[in-house]
Amino acid sequence: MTTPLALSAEEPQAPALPRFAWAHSPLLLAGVVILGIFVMIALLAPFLVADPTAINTSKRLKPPSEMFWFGTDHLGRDIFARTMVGTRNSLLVGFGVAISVTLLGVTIGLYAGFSKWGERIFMRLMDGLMAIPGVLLAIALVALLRGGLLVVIIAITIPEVPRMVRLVRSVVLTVKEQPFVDAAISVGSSTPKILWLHVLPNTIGPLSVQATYVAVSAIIAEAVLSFLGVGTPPEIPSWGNMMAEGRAYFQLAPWIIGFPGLMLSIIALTVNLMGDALRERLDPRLARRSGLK
Amino acid sequence: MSALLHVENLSVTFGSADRRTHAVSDVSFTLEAGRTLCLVGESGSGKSVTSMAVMGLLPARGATVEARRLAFAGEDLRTATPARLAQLRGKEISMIFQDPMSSLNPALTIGYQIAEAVRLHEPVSRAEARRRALDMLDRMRIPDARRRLDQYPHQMSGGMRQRVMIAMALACNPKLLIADEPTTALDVTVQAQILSLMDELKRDMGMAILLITHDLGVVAEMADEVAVMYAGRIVERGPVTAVFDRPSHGYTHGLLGAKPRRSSSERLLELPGGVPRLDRHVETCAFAPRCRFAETACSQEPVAPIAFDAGHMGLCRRHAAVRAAVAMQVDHHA
Repeated sequence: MTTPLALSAEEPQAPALPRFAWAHSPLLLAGVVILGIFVMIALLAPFLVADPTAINTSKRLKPPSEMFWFGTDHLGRDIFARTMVGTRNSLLVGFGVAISVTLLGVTIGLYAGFSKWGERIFMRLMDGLMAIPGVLLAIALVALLRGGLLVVIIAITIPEVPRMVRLVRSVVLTVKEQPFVDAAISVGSSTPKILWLHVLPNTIGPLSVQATYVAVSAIIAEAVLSFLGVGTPPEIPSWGNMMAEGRAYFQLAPWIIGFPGLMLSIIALTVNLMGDALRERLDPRLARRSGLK
Repeated sequence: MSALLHVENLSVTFGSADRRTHAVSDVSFTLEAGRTLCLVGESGSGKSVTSMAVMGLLPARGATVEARRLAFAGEDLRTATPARLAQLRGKEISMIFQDPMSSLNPALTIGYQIAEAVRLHEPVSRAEARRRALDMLDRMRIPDARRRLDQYPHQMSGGMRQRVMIAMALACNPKLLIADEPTTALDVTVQAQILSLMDELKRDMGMAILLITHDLGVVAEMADEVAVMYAGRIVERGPVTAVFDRPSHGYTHGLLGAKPRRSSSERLLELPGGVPRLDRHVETCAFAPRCRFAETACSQEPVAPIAFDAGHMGLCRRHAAVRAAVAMQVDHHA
């Protein structure tokens, strides 16, 4: 019962990430700064910008100007305000999916890596899930469960889980053959303790890298679902449904689709770069090299 | 006094019925408190598998362990529950592994790992466990132990890590220490330090040591008794002086002959051939094809254990010839 406390108190991953990480990796630093700006926008947007749902029919399809930085859409709504508020939606989905995929993936992956029956049942289940195209599965799930941000998160999470499970299981299979696991058994550690204390901390590196990629793919998947009209409900501005609405006016008012698209690209690129930087930092071979310094 | 560790007719096989590897066959030995037994032999002779079987570390899938008796302090290890085994491991029986580089968890500080070993078996506070860890590091003569406690394995050298391993294994004062080639990965000076440390702990705490090695120098220094293993069997066993002075098995003779002596300019005696395949269970002497003393009967008739003198036994029908050869060599040197 005291083990979770122990873990957080001792910071098992300490050598991999701490203070040196920033200095060694400008890429990671840049990623963190840009992501930080996005998070700030997501948190503060509702207080800083005009009402994103205010309709002004006299100012329809206006190009970017001093008053409307990103222009207006076909209902005269402020694209800048909508884009900023849409950030919240995208980040919520991105983080929400990344966290739930990681939790599910770790739980199932650990179980499948240690139990014969867990492996048989869950890995076949995961194989089955992987056979279905992710977006199709998500559309089906949203249709089944109907509306709401939570449903979108669940719908994107489920198709993403199998890859995480496979990753965790493969790491577990490698780690559990390490001599230090035998050593842990030989001082009397029980199986749960070995999982928690010796296997889990050693999966954190590849896991956190995979989580960033999951976040990117979730942000894009949310936009895709909203674009297709099965994602975020239209009354909540999201990049996906903005682009879907702007699609009809693309030649007339490219800014409607352009600005949310640009934001989507920037955030996807940022998180991807962070993932790459993290991988470089946490890859056991590379990490060992820097550890010797 | 009854033996601390009692192993009788231990056999370990790997693989399925059609492709079976006989890694250990009919191994018997006993070990008493405060004594050191060395298991000696070439790579693949079954030393490590024997120790893993005692520790219960062999995978349940793939390895079949059979024994007439496998008991620690009178308690049967084969029928012990996993929970009971977890209690015994670390507290009563500890193990040091061959490779100090990968036997420590890279994600945890060494202080935490040693303290964890204590806390698994004793209801002490985190602070108390940490104090014990510090104490153990001091006893291992690790300089600047307080700082070392908060370091990670990759920040330490191989010798340091092996000492940490030993500290972990000894944290709860076990009655039996199984050391599987504890010094193979280390250089000679560190090796000497570690061995003398183990010897000291044996004397101080009355601990029994099952030492696995292929280094006869280590055996001469550490052992009270020696068991020589070849192709999964103990081919000769006895007090260290008896086995070294009066080797009675062709293999032991060869092994001792392959040890360099500074005083002699003679060519080292090498053993022709290699360790036999273990895919068949053989009743005859497995060493016969390589043995310079072998006669036809050696590779045709099964060998039975023969007692030579007090506590000294072996599996060799040509023991008389081996001893005669040894006696001649001694004369020659003298």
